[in-house]
Amino acid sequence: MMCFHLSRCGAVVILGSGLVWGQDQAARAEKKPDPTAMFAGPDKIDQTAAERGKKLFGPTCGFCHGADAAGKSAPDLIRSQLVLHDEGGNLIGPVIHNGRTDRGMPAFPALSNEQIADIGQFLKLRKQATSNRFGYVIQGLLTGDAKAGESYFNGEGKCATCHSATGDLAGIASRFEAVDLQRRFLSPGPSMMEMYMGKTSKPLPSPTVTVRLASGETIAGTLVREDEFNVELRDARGWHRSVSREGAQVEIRDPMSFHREQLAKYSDADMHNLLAYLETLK
Amino acid sequence: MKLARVWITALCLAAGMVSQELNPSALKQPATDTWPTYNGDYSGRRNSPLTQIDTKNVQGLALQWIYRAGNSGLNGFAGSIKSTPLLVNGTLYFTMPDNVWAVDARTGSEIWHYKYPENPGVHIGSRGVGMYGDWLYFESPDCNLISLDAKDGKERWRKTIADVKAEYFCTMAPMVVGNRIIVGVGGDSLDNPGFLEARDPETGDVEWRWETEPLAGQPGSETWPNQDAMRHGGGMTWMPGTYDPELNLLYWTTGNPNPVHAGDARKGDNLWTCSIVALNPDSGKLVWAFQPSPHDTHDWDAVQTPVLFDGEIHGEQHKMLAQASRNGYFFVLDRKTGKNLLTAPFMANNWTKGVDAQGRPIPNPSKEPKRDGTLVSPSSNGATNWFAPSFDPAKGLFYVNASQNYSVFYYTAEGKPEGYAGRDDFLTFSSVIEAIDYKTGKVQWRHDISSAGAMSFGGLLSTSAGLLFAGDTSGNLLAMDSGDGKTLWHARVGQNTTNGAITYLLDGRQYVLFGAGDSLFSFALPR
Repeated sequence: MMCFHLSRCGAVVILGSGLVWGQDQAARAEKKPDPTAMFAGPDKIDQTAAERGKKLFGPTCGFCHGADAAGKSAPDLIRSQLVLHDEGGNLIGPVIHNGRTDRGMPAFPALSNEQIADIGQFLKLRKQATSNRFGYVIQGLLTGDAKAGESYFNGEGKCATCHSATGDLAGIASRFEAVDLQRRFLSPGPSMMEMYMGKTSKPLPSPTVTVRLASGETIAGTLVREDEFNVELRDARGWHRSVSREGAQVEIRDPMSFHREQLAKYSDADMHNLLAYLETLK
Repeated sequence: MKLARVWITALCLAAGMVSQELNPSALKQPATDTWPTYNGDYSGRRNSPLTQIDTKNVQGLALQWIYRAGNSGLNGFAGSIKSTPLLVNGTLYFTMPDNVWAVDARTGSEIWHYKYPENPGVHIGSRGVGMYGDWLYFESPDCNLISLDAKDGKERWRKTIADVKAEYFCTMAPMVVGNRIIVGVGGDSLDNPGFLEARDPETGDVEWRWETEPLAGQPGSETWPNQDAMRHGGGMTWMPGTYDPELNLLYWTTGNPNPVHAGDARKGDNLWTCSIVALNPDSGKLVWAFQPSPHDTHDWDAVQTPVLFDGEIHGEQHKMLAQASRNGYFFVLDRKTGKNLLTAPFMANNWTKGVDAQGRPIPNPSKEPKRDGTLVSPSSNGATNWFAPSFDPAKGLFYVNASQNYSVFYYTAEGKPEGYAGRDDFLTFSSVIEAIDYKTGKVQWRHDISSAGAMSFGGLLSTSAGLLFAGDTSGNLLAMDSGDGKTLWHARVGQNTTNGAITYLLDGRQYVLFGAGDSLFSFALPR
């Protein structure tokens, strides 16, 4: 239901039921909110207690409920109403102490109330790990063929037009996790998902712009912002300039445009092969 | 109970002569001096009959007032106006999560501000309020239905809609149909079932409840592997619907199935998730359904407004319903029967193997989320999203804020897939206003509104005077010629539109009101 992105110019864009933090708003905001706080769920979890609870849960409950509490011969406890509403063991305590013998659950009278509260914290942690997708671990990406990826790099993909395995990309695989490398060659620069994962990328180089005015004058520089009415840029001497588009010819050159155009061309195999090849550049 | 309600309704109607209450008949006509429900009227067209502002004089549109909702206690993400204000008897009612305001539509003065207590529900957005008589209805992030007195914002009562502990959260603007308040729910993260309820306007009690997932043995249950999958199948009802008073059918839309990215855990079409459904508003019983995204694995809620209009298609007259859906396809249905009349992509995509005999896109299994990632267009944010579309019946054009974008979808679950069970990594964004010819599905014109690859969340408003109001991603409000998409007027307010503009007459003068960021901007022609 929700999504995110960090645009190239550093203006944060949040989708979902979203809004844009344009640069104007970002400047006005006094404190940047923690973007992941919203998805943490309704419970505050004591991590130490949850760790103790995990050690108890495994041998005591895991055989039937699964060590991950997602259910085996006994029910899933991650989305159990009783567990979701438990506060410090007040609901799960009686069930653990007395069992549900009619349904085959034995009683565990020896567990103390503190131990049960710890188990409750572990179950809430499991629930949070399930519901907060920004904690999910993406792994198992290296399924491609590095040789085919190298051919794509030098051939059809035209990567070698701008990049070199021994130049700018030398050692690239040791600088990034596979998932970040995959995202970066597809779409370089900061991303909203990256921000949610607590990572950061350098901003991309800004596009350059040349404006030819009706008078014949030409103004060139680094693009600051543009819309269908005006263009704002920083010229070679560092001055901010804004120009009306009316009667002007505006040419914007974005060094990243190739990456965007390529998105419609990759097959999934191309993407996986290219990653496998880049992963060899340790 | 019923009798009591009739009496109170009658009293409200009588009192309407002197009070600020809403006459229910206003909901059945296109808005002129009132904007009484989320979409202005029951049709979902957001097409105003007002013609005072037209293509010739729109250049003179001038700012009348700004109201900055700076007292929300929210910032950035949550603290923007995604609600469509209601306008009733000169007062605007609008919301953010936990917040409801009444503002004088002439002056922009705050009349009252209601603040709901701090709560753990997801504060992602709020679409607005519903109004019945003197009373307002608001859904809180932790899923209470709250009734306020429109006069002073005093809370009358609150009733639970869904369990925040199960991670439901609520954003919808309640919709008033007859003497029922229709409420829906959101929340994808813990495999909850979706549902829609009708509530009593006086007491807030449940009158009927429609469940997104069927019970075992019911029609649709054959599209799920088992009862447990259905009970955890998702399909949230987080956007207001539309209503045809003549057919007495309530049209609602549902979100993605759960677990979100784990198709193998729920083989089948997963009805009635990602569906457009027609319900009997008196009973909540399903009359027909159409599924824009069978077996969705990409988070493409099919909750976009189901827009109602009558006209000719393929040489026959039909009462129709159209949706530009998040998955990138435009659908036209016969709204009496649910029969598909047209399916056409409004944005390039790479996830289908064509369209089936019922007019539904056929998902390509190779584009389901995988451990090593699949490159898919559109992203989970979709080719469009909750942004209000608009339809001009005279031109036969359906306007939508659309996006060409890509994402890599990963499947991540170890063991039993639950919750999202995966994630997608957004690669690109863009925004364009499209005008779709409903008879052919062809895009008649496109107007790029994005700069720097950013994405717009603005809704649209068309008028009989040939105007289309929108916003771009550079902080400009725009008025376009709805026939060709050319810009006729703009004002840079420095914040991007976050809701759909509304228009209304006040003192015989036509106003256009935009929500952008945390502020309302009111425009009219100079006197």
